[in-house]
Amino acid sequence: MSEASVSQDRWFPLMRSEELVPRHVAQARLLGQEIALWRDDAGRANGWENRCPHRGVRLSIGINDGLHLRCQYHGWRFASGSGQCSFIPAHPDLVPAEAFRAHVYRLIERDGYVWASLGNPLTLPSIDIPSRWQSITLRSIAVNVAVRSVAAALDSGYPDAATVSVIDEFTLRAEMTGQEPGFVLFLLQPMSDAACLIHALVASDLLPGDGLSLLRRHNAALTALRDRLEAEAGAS
Amino acid sequence: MGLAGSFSASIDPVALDAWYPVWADSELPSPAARRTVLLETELQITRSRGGNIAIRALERSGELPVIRRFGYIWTSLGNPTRDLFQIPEFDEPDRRNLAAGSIGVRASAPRTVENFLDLGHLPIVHVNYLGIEQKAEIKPYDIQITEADGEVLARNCRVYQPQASLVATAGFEVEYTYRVPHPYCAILYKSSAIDAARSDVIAILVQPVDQDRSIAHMMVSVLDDQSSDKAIRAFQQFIFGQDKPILENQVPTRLPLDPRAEIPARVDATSSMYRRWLRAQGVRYGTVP
Repeated sequence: MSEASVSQDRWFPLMRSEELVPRHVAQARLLGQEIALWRDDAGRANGWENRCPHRGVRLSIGINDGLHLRCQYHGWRFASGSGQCSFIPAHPDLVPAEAFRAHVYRLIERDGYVWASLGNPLTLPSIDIPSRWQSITLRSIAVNVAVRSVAAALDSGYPDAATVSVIDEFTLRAEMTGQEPGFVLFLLQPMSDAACLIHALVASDLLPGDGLSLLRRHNAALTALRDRLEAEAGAS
Repeated sequence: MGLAGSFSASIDPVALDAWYPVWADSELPSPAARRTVLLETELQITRSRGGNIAIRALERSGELPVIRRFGYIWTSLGNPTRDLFQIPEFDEPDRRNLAAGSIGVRASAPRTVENFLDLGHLPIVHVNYLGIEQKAEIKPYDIQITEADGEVLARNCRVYQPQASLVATAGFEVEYTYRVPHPYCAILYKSSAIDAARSDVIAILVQPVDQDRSIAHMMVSVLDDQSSDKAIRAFQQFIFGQDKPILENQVPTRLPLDPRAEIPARVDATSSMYRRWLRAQGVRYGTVP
C-alpha cells in the first residue's frame, strides 16, 4: 500500500504543555524525525533536531540548565531560542561560529499542546472549547499504523458518538451522547510513515467528579481501536 | 579467490581483507569452541586439547587464517594483503599486558574508534577521572599521516587528569599520543604515572559485527606492579562504560565521512583526519560514505 506522504508544512501536536516541565528534556518523533523538546527557565519551549551538530549525539540525553541545552558528549552549550552554540569547553576562549548551531524546528504552544512543524506551516487547527467547559486529557495512545488509517478509522465512528467530524485532515471531533454530553477531540501526530500517536481530550460542561470511569472508558475504546488497526495491518 | 565472492556487496575490499580480533586468547580454554559474528558472518573458534586454534565461517568450508597477537585471536574473511600491525611496547618484559575486556556496542566500528581518539570528551564524559571541567581546554597538537606506515598519528596531546590510571596518586598533565594503524583499531600512548620517560599503552581493537554493531576489545600494556589484573580490567571497563551510552546515542550509528555532515572544532583534528583517512583508503563499512 502506498499513500501520498504527509506534508511537512503544517503543525502537529507533540505533547501536552504541562508535560514539558522545567529542567527536563523530552523526546518526540514527527514524520520520522526525532525532536528534543525542552523548556527554558523563562518558560520558552524549544524543539530541536535530536542530534548535536558536532558529533551526532542525541540532545535528549543532554542537560537542560535553564538557559542552554548541554550536550552530554563534549559539554557544548546551545542557547534557548536560536540553538546557537555559546560555549565549547575544549576551547573556552573561542566564540563559536554561526555554523555551530542546533537545528531548530518551529514550535508553538496553543490550547494546552506543544505543536511543531518541520516545514513552513499554515494555520493551526482550531480547538474551540466553550469557556465554561471543562476538559480532561486522555492518555496518548501510540498505534503502529499510518496516520491516515487512524484518521479514517476514527472518521468511520467512535463508541457513543452521535457523529464524528473532520476539522482538518488529522484533527477530528466526536460529538458525544450519553453520560457526558460534549465532544472528544482527537489530535493525530504522525511519528513516521507507519506509526501515529493519538492525543485526545474530552470536553464537556458536565464532567463527572473524579473522571476516572470516563478515562477508563475512552482508554478502552482507543486501545481497542489500536488493537484492531494493528491486527488489520499485520494481516494484510 | 577465497570466500570473497559470497559476501555481502556492502563489505568493501579494504574491510574484507583486514585482520580482526575475534576473541581474547586468555578467554578461550583448551579444549573449547566459541561462536561470534564478524562482518555479518558467523564464526566458530575452536581450541583443541593440544592448544591449536582453528576458525571456520559457519556455512562455508575451509579454515580461516589465524594470528595470535596482543592477547587476542585475529582472523580475516578476505585475503589479507599485509601483516597485522605491531605494538613493540607489548614485548617489553616489565609490562603488564592484559586483555581488559570485550564489550558489545550498538555503534559502528568507526564510531567506536573515533570515540577512543576523542580528546574533548575526556573532561566531560570521564569527569574526575580522565579530566576535570575546570581544565577542559585542549591545546593544539600535532597531527599527521606517517610516511612510513600511512598511519594516523596525533602527538603532543595534553590533558589534565586527576586519575589518569589506577596507580596515579595525584592529578597531572598527561601527554597522549594516538596511532591509528588499522581502520578499526587505535592505540593510545599516555604518560606513565610512575615513570615519566615511558608510556602506558591502551588499545581499542574493534570487531565489526555488522555495520551498526561492534565488539570493542580492549588491550592494556601498562607499567603497574601494584594493581591486580582484576582491578586494571575493572578500571578500563568502568571508563568504557561511560562511553557506551554516548556511542549508542550517536545518530546515525555509522560514521559520516562527508566533512559537512558533522561540524568539527579544532580539538577534533584527529577525528577529522581519521575520517579523511578512511575515505581515502576506500573504507565504507560502518560509514556513511
